[in-house]
Amino acid sequence: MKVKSLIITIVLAALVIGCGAGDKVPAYKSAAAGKLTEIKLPPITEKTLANGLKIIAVEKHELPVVSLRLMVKAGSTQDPLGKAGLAGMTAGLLTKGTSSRSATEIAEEIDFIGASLNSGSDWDACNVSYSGLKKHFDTGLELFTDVILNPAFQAAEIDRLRKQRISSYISSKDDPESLVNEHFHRLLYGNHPFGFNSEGTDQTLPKINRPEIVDFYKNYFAPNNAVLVVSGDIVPEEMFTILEGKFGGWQQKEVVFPEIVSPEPVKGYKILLVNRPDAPQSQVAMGHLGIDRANPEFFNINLMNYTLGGGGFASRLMKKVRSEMGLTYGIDSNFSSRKLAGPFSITTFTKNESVGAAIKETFNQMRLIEKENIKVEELADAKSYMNGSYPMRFETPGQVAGQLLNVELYNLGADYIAAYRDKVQAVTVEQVKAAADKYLDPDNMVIVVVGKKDAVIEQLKEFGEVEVMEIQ
Amino acid sequence: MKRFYLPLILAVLVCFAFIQAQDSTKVSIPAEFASWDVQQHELANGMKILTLEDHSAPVVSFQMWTHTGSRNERPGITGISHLFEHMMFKGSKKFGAEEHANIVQRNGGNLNAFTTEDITVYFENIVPDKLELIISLEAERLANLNISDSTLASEREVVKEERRYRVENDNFGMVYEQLHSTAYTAHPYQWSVVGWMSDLDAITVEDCREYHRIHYAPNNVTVVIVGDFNTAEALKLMEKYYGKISAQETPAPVSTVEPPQNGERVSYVKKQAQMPLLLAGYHVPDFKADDYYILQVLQKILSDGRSSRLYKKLVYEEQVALYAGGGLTDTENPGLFYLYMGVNPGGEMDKSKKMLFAEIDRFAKEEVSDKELQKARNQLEADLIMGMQSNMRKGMNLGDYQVRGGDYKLLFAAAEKYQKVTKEDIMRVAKEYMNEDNRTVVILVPEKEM
Repeated sequence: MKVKSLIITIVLAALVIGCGAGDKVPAYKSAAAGKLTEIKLPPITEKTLANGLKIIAVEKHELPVVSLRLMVKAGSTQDPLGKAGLAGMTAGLLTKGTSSRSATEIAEEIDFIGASLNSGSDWDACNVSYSGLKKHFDTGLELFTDVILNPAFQAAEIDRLRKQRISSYISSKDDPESLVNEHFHRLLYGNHPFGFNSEGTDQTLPKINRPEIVDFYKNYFAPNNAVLVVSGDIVPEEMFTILEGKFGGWQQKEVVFPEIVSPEPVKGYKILLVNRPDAPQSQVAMGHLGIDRANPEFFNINLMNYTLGGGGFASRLMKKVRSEMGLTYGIDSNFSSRKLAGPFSITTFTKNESVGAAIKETFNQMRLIEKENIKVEELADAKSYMNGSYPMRFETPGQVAGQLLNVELYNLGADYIAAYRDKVQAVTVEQVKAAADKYLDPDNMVIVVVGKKDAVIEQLKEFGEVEVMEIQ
Repeated sequence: MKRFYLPLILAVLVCFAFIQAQDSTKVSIPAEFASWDVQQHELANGMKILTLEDHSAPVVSFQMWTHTGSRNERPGITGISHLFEHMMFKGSKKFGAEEHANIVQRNGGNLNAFTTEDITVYFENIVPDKLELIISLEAERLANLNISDSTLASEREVVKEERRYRVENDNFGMVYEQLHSTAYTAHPYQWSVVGWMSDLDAITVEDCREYHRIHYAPNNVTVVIVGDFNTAEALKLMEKYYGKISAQETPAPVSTVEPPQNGERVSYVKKQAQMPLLLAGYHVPDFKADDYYILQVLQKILSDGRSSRLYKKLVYEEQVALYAGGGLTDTENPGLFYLYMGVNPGGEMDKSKKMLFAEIDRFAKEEVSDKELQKARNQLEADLIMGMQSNMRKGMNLGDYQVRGGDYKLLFAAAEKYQKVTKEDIMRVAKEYMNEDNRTVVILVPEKEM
């Protein structure tokens, strides 16, 4: 785990700042101009089996590693009301026993070859992923196939996983970030699937039974509703033959998706303060409904959000609230675009005494980007970051697989990767302003704060009526 | 993946990866890396450079490693290494505050920095034709950093927020800090990398300037470049931009040695919480000791994967813990073999604790099985290879051995040593280090009402 933990070390230990300080140094400015680096994709080959399973092979021979990832195009969004966590339980149980192997046997076999085999759910998909050394591929593939095609969903394993997830849910209340997110989504989405913790809660998990899990699996796990990527040190034609042998007999079927009613947008400010009497710092989440992935203004919105708060070191929120005011270590804005409209959210944390100031400045920045065109240089910076860094999203086989699956999941089109940078380049400051106008709404927001009530409440009352909740 | 959240947090606070061997001359490079052409270079001012070309993707990872971290601090200025890392983004002679980061992003690069007990690292990942820009920017802030009262004032507040976020408002962070402040009585590892709040308030501009002069001198810095670039050209650029920076005196060595622990230390944190936590640590030798490799193999058997002893017993079979595991702090001076456990809310800490320590005691009482030993070796082999999938990770692994161990080849020596560990070795180190008298235990006791 040492090497794996390294990246996490770096990501979490992030300690950098950024701001859009003008262009005092023309030499450095001009460095951004010029020809863009070519996107260098490894050889990619596709084949669709007779049962509809699309297989994509990504060839990369630098290291003797082979990875497999199956994406099933249904996820927590398909959890029925009151059953939050169903997709997560179904996916999680795949590796917990098959018709011929117990959970322990699967764990023993995978660990013995030093590989990883994991399964889980996302809002729009369930994923099963395997990664291991080439010399152990036969064992890995056998297990990968078995957990996908023959899961047992044994009662004892259902109970065990349910208990773990309830425990995990309850203990997540110790984490201010989890707590603020849970309440933010609940207030924003109500009974819509996005209003619930995707892994389930202590209320919903006890109500999920075996027939529902089996049904979820039967309804959505179909070759015609899935994409399989094999990547690494492989020969594509050989792989297609081997994988067809494993998955060719998987039965095609009609997959039916339920209708989901759209949530009502929030009116005015809906403010919740979750009291943690011993908190030295407040966690803040605020926002409103955002966009779906098919939104035609996706690129305009993305560039706008980069300048507002998505661009890390270069964003206005980071520049103001962190670098200039010193109120936080991190602030970020995000449009979570899913098949259905996900949230627009701004999250930060600051000492209890400065919660009001941080929120106020955030609103200022939202209003400013709605009111005035961003500077031509700001847009140029956002574009040159997005386009300049784009080739780096395809460095490792895992990254390439992730990008290709994203194109598949959201039907972005075969030319998406090739056309990406032209689409970024075409966005104008007027389009950015129009996107801010249409998709930001600083007057109608959900605001959730997890912090010390006595120190925070008066600051929040400045924005409107405050509902207070004690942690149970 | 929530289950793995604690071990990952540990990895953050802790130093990372690998260990060094003492004898680097007889290293055989594993076949997977036989084609790697790692080269070592040195400028006249003492700056070391490590290069590895890899043209498979149009990406270069540039990493500037300074051999300084919280172990180089003293009471009164704890946290200065990390605070200083922040100050490196606050402007130089040529550039204003945050301009360095802004220029890198404008050119399509990703950048960041991190500080551990032993090192501070600044890195950029960027497309190949921007390498000169990056070298010029990094050399500029190394040579001409501008530390002012106003930038220190605002950044001090940012770092205090970071401390609240990582330690004071995070149950695990609090317990982790307390483990170190209890297990260590003399050595600088007793304070956390982020430092004590009162010291963060007290550090002055002069402290920062002096810290920069000594610890950020070229003779204390190693640059690692991995990816799609030409070595000869890069070396010319390194000479052009870094060559003129003057060397300084060698930083004072860390001479304090932690005295032996002669009895268990137990400490409690009471906090509003749902989940009782336990963190324990045993003093173990430094990363150059032969026993360290053996402890790493033991760690794999104890807690890597769902078939590991702790997961199987405490999480799967007995279901007393939501998670349980162990690891090594991987520090340059003697570190800790730590254990962590999150007890299911409503569960009994005492019962879970007994089960946890019973699993540890087993290593001293009975030999591990042949299968477990082979599994651990296979896992360590796979970790090494699968941990090299990007230029950044290659650079981080090589750089860590180079900077903390003095020779990147020790990365491969470690791989060889793991394969030689025996069942008897494991039993011996378990007896020697993983005993009650050498143990510090910190328990978070949930208080529902405050």
